[in-house]
Amino acid sequence: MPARGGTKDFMPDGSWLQNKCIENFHQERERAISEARVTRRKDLVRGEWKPELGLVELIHEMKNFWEHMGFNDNKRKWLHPEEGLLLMETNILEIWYDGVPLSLQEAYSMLIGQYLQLEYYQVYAYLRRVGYVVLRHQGRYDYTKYERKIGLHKHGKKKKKGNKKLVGKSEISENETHTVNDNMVDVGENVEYCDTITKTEMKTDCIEDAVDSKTVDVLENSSRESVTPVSDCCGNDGKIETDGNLDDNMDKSTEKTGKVFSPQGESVYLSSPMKDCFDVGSVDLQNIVSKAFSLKDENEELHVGETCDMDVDSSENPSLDVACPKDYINNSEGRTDIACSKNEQKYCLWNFDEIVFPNFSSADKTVSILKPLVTYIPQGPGTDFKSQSYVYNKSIYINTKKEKKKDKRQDEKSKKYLEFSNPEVMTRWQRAKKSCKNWAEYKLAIIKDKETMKRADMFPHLYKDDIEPLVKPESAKSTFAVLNQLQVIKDYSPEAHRTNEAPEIQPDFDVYAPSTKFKKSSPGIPDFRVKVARSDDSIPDMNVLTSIVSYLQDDVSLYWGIVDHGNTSFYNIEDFTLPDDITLE
Amino acid sequence: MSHQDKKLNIFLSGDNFFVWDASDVRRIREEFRIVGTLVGCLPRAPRQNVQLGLPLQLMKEEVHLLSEKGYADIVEIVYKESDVTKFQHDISTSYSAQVDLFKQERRDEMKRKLPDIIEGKKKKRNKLLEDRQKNGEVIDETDFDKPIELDPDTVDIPNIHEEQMLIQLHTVPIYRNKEYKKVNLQYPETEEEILKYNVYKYFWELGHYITCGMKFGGDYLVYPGDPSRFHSFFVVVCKGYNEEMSALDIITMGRLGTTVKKTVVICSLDDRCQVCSTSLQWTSIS
Repeated sequence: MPARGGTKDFMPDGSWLQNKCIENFHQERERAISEARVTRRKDLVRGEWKPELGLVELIHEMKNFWEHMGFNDNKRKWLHPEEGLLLMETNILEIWYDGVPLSLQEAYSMLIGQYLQLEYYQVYAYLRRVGYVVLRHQGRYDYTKYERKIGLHKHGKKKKKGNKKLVGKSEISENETHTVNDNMVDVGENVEYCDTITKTEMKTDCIEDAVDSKTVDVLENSSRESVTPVSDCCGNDGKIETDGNLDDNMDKSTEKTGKVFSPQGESVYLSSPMKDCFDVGSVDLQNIVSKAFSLKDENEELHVGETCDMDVDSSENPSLDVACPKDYINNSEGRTDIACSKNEQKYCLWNFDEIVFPNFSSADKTVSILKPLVTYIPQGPGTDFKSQSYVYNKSIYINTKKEKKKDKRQDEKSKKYLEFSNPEVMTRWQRAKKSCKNWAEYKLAIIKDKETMKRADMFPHLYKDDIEPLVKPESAKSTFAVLNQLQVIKDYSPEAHRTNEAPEIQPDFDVYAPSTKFKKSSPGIPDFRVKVARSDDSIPDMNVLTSIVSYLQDDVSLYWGIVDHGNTSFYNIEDFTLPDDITLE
Repeated sequence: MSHQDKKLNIFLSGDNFFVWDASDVRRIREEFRIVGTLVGCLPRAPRQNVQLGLPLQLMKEEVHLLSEKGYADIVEIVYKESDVTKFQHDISTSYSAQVDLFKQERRDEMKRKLPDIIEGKKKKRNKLLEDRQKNGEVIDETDFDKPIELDPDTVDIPNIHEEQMLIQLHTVPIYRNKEYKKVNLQYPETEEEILKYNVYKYFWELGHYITCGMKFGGDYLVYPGDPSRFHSFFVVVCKGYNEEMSALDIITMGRLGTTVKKTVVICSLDDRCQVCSTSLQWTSIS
């Protein structure tokens, strides 16, 4: 390699020595640059240039460069053109096109152009030659500052994996329900809307809501389409309780299921008498829905909690029971004993009117408890209750007095030693406490108090006119606070200008310091980012800069790589806040 | 010399200009005092930024000057179909040549170390004979002294494996039919380009070496001799003849010149399209 740098002469003097030096330099340089790139075939990776995609497909075995370069899709492995070109220049990759390997000159004219700008490549190559790991910009990472502080972002991959698993699960369950549906073709067209039910449920996150809305609209639909009177009664009587959120869902899915359902409704309506058709329909619906949901149950995604029956009835029609699937899940054996009563809604199998809880607070010394209802008690030893009521001595179970005394003592103690920066708060609080019944009143009282405090300033005459002093005495708690008050032009903080909209200009590269821990699949937050620019490009304005930085939200510095005819240099614009000079005299 | 008269080729690729021939790169620098920038990886040491290799990227000023003076042609290559047969032929001839070379080298090495090899073989044979003797076999004592015949020219040497064969990654295209298309450079066009090109040419014609001045905050750097040997004297800043400049600009440039120990030269084109230049001197009155 020809030497570079060293001491230079001041100016040419035509001496033989000087000329010899220069000639030597040229000779060495020519030899160095004309050296052939030769490698053993087994060390050479083969790739194929795909001009229509602008990518290099790897054919031959990968080498260790694969750890931080390239990407794959459906079994094929790809390299971006800049990666391909650099590997070619570093004598690792042979890019083939049209049956023969490309020469470097061909590669420069083919790979650089539509998919890759020369400046872009030169910045990339510069950073790679120094040893950095350079990826195309990956977009932003949604980690909060705190997450980064405690190092949570390093475990990003796990998070992703978890998500994938979930997706996979739901896909599986969807498939399962499909097979269930396929098995139940004999049920008829019901299958069709069962399909829509399960599918839509997979999509919604809030399963409980979905359950309600779906079943409700299936109900509504079925009744509306096949039996008009029923639909009237369940729509208008308002027996089916829905919250606002549910209503929205209902409207949307009603349209969906309605479409699917309508052919069935019509056909049934024509073929059989009203009563029969509805009964058959509803029973099938129950089966299907319950099956679909028991599958869900296996996935542990459904919170089995409250039970819910919905009984729809009307005077004109025979009583019709459609139970919410949760009910089935609750009964693990799949029994379908649904409480069925006319014009009444129940949320639980337990009747709380019948269950009496002992009241410990009102009783003075003893508590008497009635004999519990046998129906609710699990069978087993020690559960046979003989007498009608039991009396418990309160003091045995609850030692209220002692604790109260202790608490009081501690409270007073701590109050004594508490120090308040704003002592009047305590007095105000006590003042307010006496007169207030609830929090709202208390808050109002505090605000009132504050106002009166202001009025009671030391220099009321200063605040009489339109023009007031900039600093108010009550806000002068520290030197910093005063300075802050006096600040006419506020500090520009990018925090305040955070946006979630992607800025027009995005960085080009994410750059990582070389590390053995680097993983291409979860590179994490880069060490810095680079945006490529030409030397004649104008400097980005403040707005652009802050929009990039604030969008990315991770305090990673952004460098501008400027290329001027092959010379690369970098600059960086960093935010910083001027310190508040506080001098006390 | 015919070689000296031959025009060299500057290849246009996109809107960039490259020289791909190492001897052309040298000629451009030595004969025509055009520096350019090497932008590729050096084959021997590809992972560093201090010394770079082919291609040599040229500025538009340099390209235009070379073509204007008749030293070079600007060409664009139109690639046609590839020559697969030639490639395969070359690969196979290269392989057989490598095999021959490899065998020859092994033979030469054998010849050099022939006494050692024979000595080793003898030891091996005698050890085997001793073992047999210990086992009770009757061995003729003369067998231990029998000479070993080895002729390096007739020994069979296996071919090198094809995976071990050396492959050259060519710099210039060989296995693809191509057509050279001459290109006329539309330069200089804008007023700024005209100004900059004239300034460039002005200094070149004075016998200097000129490079791009980005590193020092000017338009050009002017060297008295080859940049490998000498420091640049001037930082050239191009300004329009009637362009207004504030005192601050002057101070900026003056300060720049003193910090980098170069003279700042402000150049512009006058009404008769002549380059006029003036330099700044940082003075202090005390």
